Amino acid sequence: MKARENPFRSERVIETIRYTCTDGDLDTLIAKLAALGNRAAIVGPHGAGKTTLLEDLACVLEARGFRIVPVRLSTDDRRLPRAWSRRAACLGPRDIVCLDGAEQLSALRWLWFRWRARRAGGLLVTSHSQGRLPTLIACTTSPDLLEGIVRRLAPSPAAGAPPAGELFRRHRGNLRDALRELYDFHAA
Amino acid sequence: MSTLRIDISGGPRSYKPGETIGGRVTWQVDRDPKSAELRLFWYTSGKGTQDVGNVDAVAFETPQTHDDRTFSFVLPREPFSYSGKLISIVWAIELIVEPGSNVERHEFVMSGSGSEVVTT
Repeated sequence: MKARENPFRSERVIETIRYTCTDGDLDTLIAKLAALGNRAAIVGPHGAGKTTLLEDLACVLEARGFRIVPVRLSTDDRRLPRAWSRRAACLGPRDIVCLDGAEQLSALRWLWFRWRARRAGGLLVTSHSQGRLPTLIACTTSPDLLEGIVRRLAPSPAAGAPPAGELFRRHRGNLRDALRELYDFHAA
Repeated sequence: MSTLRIDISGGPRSYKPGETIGGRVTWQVDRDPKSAELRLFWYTSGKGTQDVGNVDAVAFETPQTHDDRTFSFVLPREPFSYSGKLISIVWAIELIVEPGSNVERHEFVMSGSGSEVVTT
């Protein structure tokens, strides 16, 4: 199968599957974020949808007139981008800093980052563990959630494709890795 | 309701590097457009992070609610349209009329042979 025809190609997953809140919609989360002083964390393990939810919340905040200042860290690149230093110097109340991967910063670097973002109107982060900021939502996954996503991406399951429950267990709830395995299955 | 169209001169076909792709774009939108732009680009599709290469663009001046314009782009030397198991490279032109999410895309093949390069 050609990559662009694979039902689990990454851009199709991103376009088709957005984070589904089990306890309210995005507006509810935005209201909760405001109640937390616009400083909060989206918490959850790898592949639970934290980044997707952060992007969706950023879109809603932008539509409400905030300027989004995205900062992205990963295990491959834990350094804060140079652009961040320049941007941090002129943050204001209409700016919301969205940091994806707060767990990549050491405790000291996190305190420094938070201090630099103090003038921003908000600071929304994703993290694998609680404690850096008050928890806005704890993202969780389940075999049923994975099965629903797989059905949306491939309504007619391919013969021999691993069942969602088995994938969920094998990848310990990491939906991103489970969907990548399904990509590989279809590519083979 | 908005309608956007991309009509390629001579109908859809494949191209070789250096050839010109041209035609006419038409749009009818509900609100006065602030901008109307046609972009020539390629993008990757498949596993992992998507890559996009913007090659050329034309911004149509003083766009009207109901309008049509002609366009032409000279295609570069690379990259060729390609498909393997992990990645595809897809060429496209895209008409974007703002405000609103009015987008129309036309995908095409560009390579030395005129066919998509395929590896298995």
